[in-house]
Amino acid sequence: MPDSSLSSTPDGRRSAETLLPLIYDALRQLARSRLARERPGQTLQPTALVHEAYLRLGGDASPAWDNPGHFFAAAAEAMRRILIERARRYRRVRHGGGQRRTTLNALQAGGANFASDREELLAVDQALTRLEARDAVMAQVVKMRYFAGLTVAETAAALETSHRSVNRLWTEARAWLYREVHGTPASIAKPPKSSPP
Amino acid sequence: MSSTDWQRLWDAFHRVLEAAVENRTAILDSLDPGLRRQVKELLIAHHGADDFLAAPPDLPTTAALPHDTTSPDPQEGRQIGPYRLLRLLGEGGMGSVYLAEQRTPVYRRVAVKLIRGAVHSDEVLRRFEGERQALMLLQHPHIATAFDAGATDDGHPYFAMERVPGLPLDQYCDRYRLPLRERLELFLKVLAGVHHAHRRGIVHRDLKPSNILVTWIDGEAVPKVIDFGIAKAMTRPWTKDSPVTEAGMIIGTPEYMSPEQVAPHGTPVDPRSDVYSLGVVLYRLLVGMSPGDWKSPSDRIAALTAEEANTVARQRRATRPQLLRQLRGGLDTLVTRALANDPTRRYADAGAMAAALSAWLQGEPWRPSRWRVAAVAASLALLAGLLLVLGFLRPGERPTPSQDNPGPAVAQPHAAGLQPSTARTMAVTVDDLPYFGDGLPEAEIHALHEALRTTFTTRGVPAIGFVTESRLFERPAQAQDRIALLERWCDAGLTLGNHGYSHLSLPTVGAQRFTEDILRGERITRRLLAPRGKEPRYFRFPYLRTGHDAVTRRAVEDFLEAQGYRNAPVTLEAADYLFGEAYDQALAQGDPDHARRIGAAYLRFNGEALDYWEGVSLQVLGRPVAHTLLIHASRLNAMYLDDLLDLFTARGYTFVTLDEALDDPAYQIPETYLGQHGVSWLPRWAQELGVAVDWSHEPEAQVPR
Repeated sequence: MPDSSLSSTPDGRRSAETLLPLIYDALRQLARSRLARERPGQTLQPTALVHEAYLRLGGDASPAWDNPGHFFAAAAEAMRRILIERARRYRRVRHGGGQRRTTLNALQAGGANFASDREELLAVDQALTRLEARDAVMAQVVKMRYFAGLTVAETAAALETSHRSVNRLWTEARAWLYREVHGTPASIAKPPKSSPP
Repeated sequence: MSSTDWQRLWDAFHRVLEAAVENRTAILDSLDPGLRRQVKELLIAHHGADDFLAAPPDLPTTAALPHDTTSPDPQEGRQIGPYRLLRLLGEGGMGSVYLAEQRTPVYRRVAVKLIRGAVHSDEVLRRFEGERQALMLLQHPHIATAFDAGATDDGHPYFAMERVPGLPLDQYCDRYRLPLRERLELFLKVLAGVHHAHRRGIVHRDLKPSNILVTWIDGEAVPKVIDFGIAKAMTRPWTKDSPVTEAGMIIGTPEYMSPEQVAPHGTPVDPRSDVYSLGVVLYRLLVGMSPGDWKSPSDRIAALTAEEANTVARQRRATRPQLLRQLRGGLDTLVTRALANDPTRRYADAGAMAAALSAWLQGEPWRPSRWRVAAVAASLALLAGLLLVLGFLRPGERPTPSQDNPGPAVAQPHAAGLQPSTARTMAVTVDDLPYFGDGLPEAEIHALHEALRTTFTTRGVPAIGFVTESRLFERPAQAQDRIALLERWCDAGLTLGNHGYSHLSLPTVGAQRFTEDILRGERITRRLLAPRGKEPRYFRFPYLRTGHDAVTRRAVEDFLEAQGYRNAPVTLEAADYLFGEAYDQALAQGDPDHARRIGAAYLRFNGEALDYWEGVSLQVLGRPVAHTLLIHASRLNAMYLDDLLDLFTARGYTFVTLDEALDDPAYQIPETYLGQHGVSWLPRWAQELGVAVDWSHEPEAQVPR
């Protein structure tokens, strides 16, 4: 199993866990105020939120974390929770209580039926929980790259590892998650990503 | 899989991936079969995963509404006597009118007029009391009932009266470009209402278009006179003073006031003052202007340029000569008499004026069809063109939902041309009973149900609630409470239906689970209904019409048939889930003002959505559709359901039972109706309203380009 300062040193892990509630609240508040101000139809990039939260909570000088890596690890997890929470909430509130609708093209593709990116997001999250049990670092890369939108360089810096390792883990994670989410390859034709033109 | 196996798997994966394409098979073949299969799967997944997780998920904005500069009204939420002020409906010369709620002894929503400024409320109330008994005797379909008068803690008088959702008479006529005859028919009803009061010795004293609102009752336009008794209570007795209150406010609108009201010389105000005001109102309906110096309407038209006169005539669906002919044939005389300076030369009261007008209407030889016939004779081509125009200009039949609400203007992009002439019906259905609010306290969930039930029962709307079994079982610990809620629905005389398992579609959960869940919900519904001698007859699989594939559709249809259910798909969604979330959020953030704006947008949205669907039904089917409306037991509806129902009432809808709606041939809708249009209107209206929503979960809801 590849090494990482974050998951393998007890200190790092503890830091990230203590930080989580703080960062989670900061991100939620930030998201809420941003969303309220945003022009209609706009969406927010998690990346921007995470970076802004970092600065707001004190940036490099903050006594709350030993290094930015601890912050970003916790922020990635916090962002994941916020996004998932939102996706679940949407599923609950919409229409008659969140009927999952199936698009015809998803059916024709013969794969899993994702009525929307949101459903995919929730499925990815579930698969990620399974991945975490197998390979915490790989899961950490996913959280940082996908949920917090960090670049490879930022992820590498946060995990105190090389770009190459991050790239490698990222490739592995995507292949593995894709298989988990979209089923075994035998039945996959390439599923349509977007609605027909 | 051990961590060594895991490592081996990825080593092999990268080895194959990094190898030249022609060598890959060899490398794969060298692996043991279990590992080979895994690596192969992952490689295929890798190739399929191009843009998988490529970008972080967006955080969608919810219903964020554009900023609105209206300041919060400090009166909202205030308790005045038995009334709680809900929101401002409008402002007038004397004060502000609020929508208010009364809880005891009966639940009802009323209009409360709060008088501004320093007035001696004791004296006002005494005068109102003096006439109170007489006012209470006014029971007429064209008079809004006065309920009550009182003083607030800080000494301002207030009046509570029947709430009339509708447009002022002149606006109503102009917006729907009513022909003269239809204007006069409406006006005749106004006269009947005022006559009812005159016969009981009550004079209004402040008749003007904004005190005559046109609403809809059972599909018919009904004018109602509001504010009876208020002007009198507000002014000093007619001895020697002017119509000015102690606070210096002029009661009445000079334009509509009789000469004796404007410059009193000891002549007591009697029904003939009202006749004068009615004359001004009539003048305005006829020619769109106030009398000014010209005493006869036809002279007034004749004095206009041809272009101006034609505009006035077109507004009445006539030509200038036609309009002049009508005015000169008796209406001039009628109006001039009502407007006589000397009260003794006017009609004695509204009844006398009504008799004259009624005689004119009966004797009036002109019929709109005559010039259509002439057109036929003129040319067939012209006829085609003309009929087209007529089709689009069918007399307007519905007021907008804005009623007494001066809120945001209601755009009516589809309204002008597309109006069916038949009565409109709507069945109201509440989905997802009982509602599991997002973390709402149990007590509040009960309160939401209470509010909805009360509105339905007090208004006599035969709503039906659909039980969603997945909701019942999401939190088994609360199931008993939920069932108690449903029982109260039944006891309030409302019907329960069964609702399709809503969380997952058939292809996802499989036919067996799908059916099991439905049957489970069915057992509950039956258990609730059995002691009441009923059984569930309706079933709703919400998107049978729009969102589902053929397999699901077929399966559900088979199920419905086998179980003997009537399917009841939705034709209209109030989209309260959309606004409801934003509303809850605004409340959670302690921003009731924003919540109020969301409420207003919710109503506006529904008005426009209705226009849209009425337009679609006429374009696609060439006829209106009997609607089934879908709403939820949300906080938003607890506050705005009444307004929402008013909105539909104001459009001429009557509320019917679900059975009546389903039996109505107008409910029979071919696939093309929704198939082509889906819910594509949602994002567009949301966009126009400045409500940003993530539509990715709505495959059909693509924003039209």
